[in-house]
Amino acid sequence: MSAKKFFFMNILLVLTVSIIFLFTSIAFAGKVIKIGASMSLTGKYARTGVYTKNGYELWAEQINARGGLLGQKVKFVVYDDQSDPKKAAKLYEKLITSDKVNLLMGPYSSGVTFAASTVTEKYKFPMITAGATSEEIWKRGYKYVFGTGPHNELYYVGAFEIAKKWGFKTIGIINADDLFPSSLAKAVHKLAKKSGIKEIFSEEFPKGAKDFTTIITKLKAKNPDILFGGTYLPDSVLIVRQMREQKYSPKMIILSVGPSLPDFQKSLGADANYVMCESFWEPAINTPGNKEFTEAYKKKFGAEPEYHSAWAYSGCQVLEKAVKEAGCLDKEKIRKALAKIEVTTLLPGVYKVDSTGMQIGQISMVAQWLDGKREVVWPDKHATKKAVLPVPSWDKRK
Amino acid sequence: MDVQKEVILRLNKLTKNFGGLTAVNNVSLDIHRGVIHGLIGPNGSGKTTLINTVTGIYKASGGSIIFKDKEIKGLRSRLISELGISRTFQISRIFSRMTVLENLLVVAPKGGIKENVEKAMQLLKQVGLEENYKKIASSLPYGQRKLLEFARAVMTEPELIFLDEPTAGVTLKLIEKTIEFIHSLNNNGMTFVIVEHNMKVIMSVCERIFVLEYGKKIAEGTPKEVQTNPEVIRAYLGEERDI
Amino acid sequence: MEISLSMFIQSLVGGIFQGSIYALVALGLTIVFGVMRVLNLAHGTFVMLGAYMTFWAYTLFKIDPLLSIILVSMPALFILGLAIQRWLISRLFVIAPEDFELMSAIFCFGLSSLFINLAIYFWTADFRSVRYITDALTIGGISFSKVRIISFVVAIAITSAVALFLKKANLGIAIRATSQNRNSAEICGIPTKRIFLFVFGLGCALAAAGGSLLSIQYAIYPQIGDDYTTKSFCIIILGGMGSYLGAFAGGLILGLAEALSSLFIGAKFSEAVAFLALILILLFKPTGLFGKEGS
Repeated sequence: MSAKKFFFMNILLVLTVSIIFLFTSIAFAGKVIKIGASMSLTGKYARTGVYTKNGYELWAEQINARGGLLGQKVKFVVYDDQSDPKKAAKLYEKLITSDKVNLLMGPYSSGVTFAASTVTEKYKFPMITAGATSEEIWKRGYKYVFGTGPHNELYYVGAFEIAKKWGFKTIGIINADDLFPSSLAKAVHKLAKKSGIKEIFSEEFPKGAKDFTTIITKLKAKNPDILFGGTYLPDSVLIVRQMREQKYSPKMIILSVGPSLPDFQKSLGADANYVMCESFWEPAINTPGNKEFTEAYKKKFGAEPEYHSAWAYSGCQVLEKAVKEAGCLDKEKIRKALAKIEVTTLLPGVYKVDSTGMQIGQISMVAQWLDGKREVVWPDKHATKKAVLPVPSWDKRK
Repeated sequence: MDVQKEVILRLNKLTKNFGGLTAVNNVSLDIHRGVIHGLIGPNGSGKTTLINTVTGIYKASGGSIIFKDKEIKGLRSRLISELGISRTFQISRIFSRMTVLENLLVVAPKGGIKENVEKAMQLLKQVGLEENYKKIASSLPYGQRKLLEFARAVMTEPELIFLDEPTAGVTLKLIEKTIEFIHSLNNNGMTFVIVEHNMKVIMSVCERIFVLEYGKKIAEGTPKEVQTNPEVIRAYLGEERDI
Repeated sequence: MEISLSMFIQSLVGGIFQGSIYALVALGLTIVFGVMRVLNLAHGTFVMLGAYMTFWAYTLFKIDPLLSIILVSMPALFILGLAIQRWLISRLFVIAPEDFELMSAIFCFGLSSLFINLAIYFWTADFRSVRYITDALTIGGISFSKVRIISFVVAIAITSAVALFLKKANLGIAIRATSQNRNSAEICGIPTKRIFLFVFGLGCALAAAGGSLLSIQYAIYPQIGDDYTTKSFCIIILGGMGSYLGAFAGGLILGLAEALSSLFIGAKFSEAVAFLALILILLFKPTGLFGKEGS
C-alpha cells in the first residue's frame, strides 16, 4: 500500500464515521424538545466535562419523569468538543443550523464557552452556561449568554472576610499562567487591596509545572501570612507536598480547584488538612432538593456527585424556570425571562444576572480540609465547622 | 591450478538489470575453496555490481547464485553474511563513530566478551592496528580504515571474502601489509575474490582471474593466460596500458 | 527580591532532581530516533502509560512503586513497544520508505491520541496518585525530599545501566552500529530488524521508568505525558539528535535551566527557557551540544 493510499483510507474512514453520526442524529428527531450542548468528553477537561454532562442527564431524566417541559419530553443532543474551543464553536453552529435544537446549554470551561458564545450570539440563541465563570465572557456586550455560577471576583470574598477577622496582614499570590487561574489571581489581588492586606509576593508558573521548589523557596524567604495559589489539582497537590518538604507553613493557605476535589485528600492524606478553597456546592448544604439530588445522582452514576454536576443540574433548573416563564420555545421570550427571573437552585445563592447576563446572585462558600473532611467554614448559614487558623506549622501537626 | 578443489560459490548466468541497462550480463563462474581469485575489467564493467548482487545488496534479475550447494539468490544481505560470505567496500564503510576495537566486536559471532576481545585484538595485530584499538575509527588515515574494514570482514568468520579495491589509494607500506594479511589468511584456507585496478597486485596475488567488460565475462584463467588473451588486451586498449 | 545562597542551592538541588528524570526519558527518545529515525511523538504517552502501570500495580496488588518499575512498568511497556514496532512501525517502513521520518511522526501522533483517549475511556480522566514517602531530609537548611532523592538515584542508575549496556554489551555495540549505518550493519550480519524491535521496546521502557518515577511525586492523568514529549525533543535537539551523552547532559541542563530561570527571572519564564535554548542551539550549533556532523 502506498503512502497516498494509506492517507486516503484514513480520510475515508473518518468520512464514514461522520456520516453514521449524522444519520443517527437525524433518526433521533421526533416530537421532543431538543436541547443542544457540546461537552468536553475527551481532551483535557474530559473529567469535569463528564460530570457536567451527568448533571444535564440527571435533570432531563427527572423532568421527563415529571411529565416533561411544556408537556413535551426533553432530549439532550450532546457532541464531544474534545475540550477544543474552535471545535465547540463549530458544533454549536451545527446544533443550531443542522440539528435545529430548541434550547441550548453551555459547554464546560471558560475558554470553550468564550468561543462557543460567539456563535450563539450570532444566531441570537440564548445559552445558559453551567461550567464557566470568567468575566471575559460577559465583557463583550453580548445579550444571549447567561451565567449561573459565582463569577470570579466573588470566589474569595468569604476567605478575605476570615483573613481580616484573624488580622492577617500580608499575602503571596502564585498562579498557573492559564486564563482561569490568572483571572482568579487578579480577583484575589483586587480583594487584597480592598481588605488592606499587602501583597508582598506574586509570581506565575507554567501550567503543568512539575517542580515548585524554587517558588516555595522564594515564598519562604518573603513569608507572607496568607498564601493564595491559582492552581489545578496536580499543581495544588505538588505545592502542598513540597511545602511540607521545605517545612513552609503560612498562617492561611488558599488554593483553587484542587482542594475542592476528593482526589486532593486522597493524594495528600493528612497533609491536606487546613488547606482552604472555594466551594460552589457541597452535598451537605441545605438548599431545596439538594439531598434528593445527591441521592438520585449516587443511584444513577454510582458515585458521589461533584460540584460540577450540581452546578450543571442547577443550570438546567434555571432553563426550566425560564421556559415556563416564557410559556413557549420562542428564543426572544426565553432571553427576556432569563434576564429578569430569580431562581433558587441547588447552589447556595440565588440565580440573578445583571444586564450583561453575568451572574451576581451566587456566592462562593469557603471550605477547609479538617480531619480528612472538606468542611464549609463560610458563610455561617451553611457552615459545618469553624475555620481552624492559623495553620499549625508542620512539626506541630499530628 | 588444482581442478580437484571444491567449488564454494557458483554463479550461473547471473544477470542484473537497472532499468534498460544490463550491468551484469549472463555471467557464469566458479569460485574454488582456498583459492585467491581476481576480478578485473575496465571502469563500469560491472565488477562492483557483481559483488553487490552476490552479497544481497542488489536483487539479481536472473540466473542463480549457489553458495555451498545452496541457492542464495534473493536472500537478505545479513543472511548471506551469516552463511559465510563477507566483504569490504570501495569506500570503506566502517562504523566511523565507534572505536577501532568496537568495529570488530560489533560483528563478533556469539560468544563471551573476553574471547571476542582476544580474537579482535589478534586480528588488529595482524593488520598493525593493535595500538590504535581505543581510537575512534574516523580518526584513522584512509589506508588504515581499509585495513580495519578488512579485519572486520574477517571477524565474522567467513569462508569467502570479497575485497573491493583493497589497495586503491593506499600507501605502499600498507599495500604490503594488506597482501601479507591476504596470504596469511589464505594459508589457513580462506577463499578470496579481489576486485582491483592495481595489476601488479592482481597478477602477483591471484591464482585465477576473471575479466569483465560491459557486464559480460570475456576471459578467465591464470594470470599468464589472461595477460596474453587478445580479448583482454582489446578491452584494455585505449584505457590504461598497465597490463 | 534578594536571593540568598541557600535559596540558590535549594533551586539547584530541585533542578538536578528534575533534570535526572528528564534525562532518563529523553534517553529513550534519542535512542529510538538515533537508531530507527522514528520521530516518536508518542514518547510522552509511554511516560503516561508507565505512570499508570505503577499506579495500578500499587493500587490493585500493593506492589511497591520502585519494585514495579522493574517488575511491571518497564517490562509491560517494553512488550508494548515490541508489538508496536513489530506490527505497525515496521509496516510503515515498507509503505513509506522515502518520507519515513515524517510518516513516523504522523503515525506516532495518531498513536498518542489513541492511547490518551483509551486511557481516558478506561481509567477516566481523574487525577491519580500513589501516596509514597512524603517527608524530607534537611541538611544545612537545604531540604531534600526523600522521594526525589530516591527518584534521582533510580533515574541515574537506570541511565547509567543503559549507557554501560550500549558501551559494552554485544547487543549494545550492535545497536550503536545500526544507528550509524543500518545498511552497513546489515551487511556485517547484524540482525537490524531485531535490533529495531529491541530498541523501540527499550525506548518505551525508559519512558515508562520515567513515568513510574513521576507517579510517586505527582498526580497523574491521561495527558500528563504531553509535556514530556515536547521537553524530550528540546533536550535531544539541545544535546544532539541521537547522542546518548547529549540526552543525559541535555536533561540535566534543562532541569537546572528551568530551576535557575525560575529563581532569577520568574517561574513563568522557566518554560520559555527550554525553547530559548533550543532556538539558540539551532541557530549556532544545529547539531546540538554533543552532536556529530554527518552520519
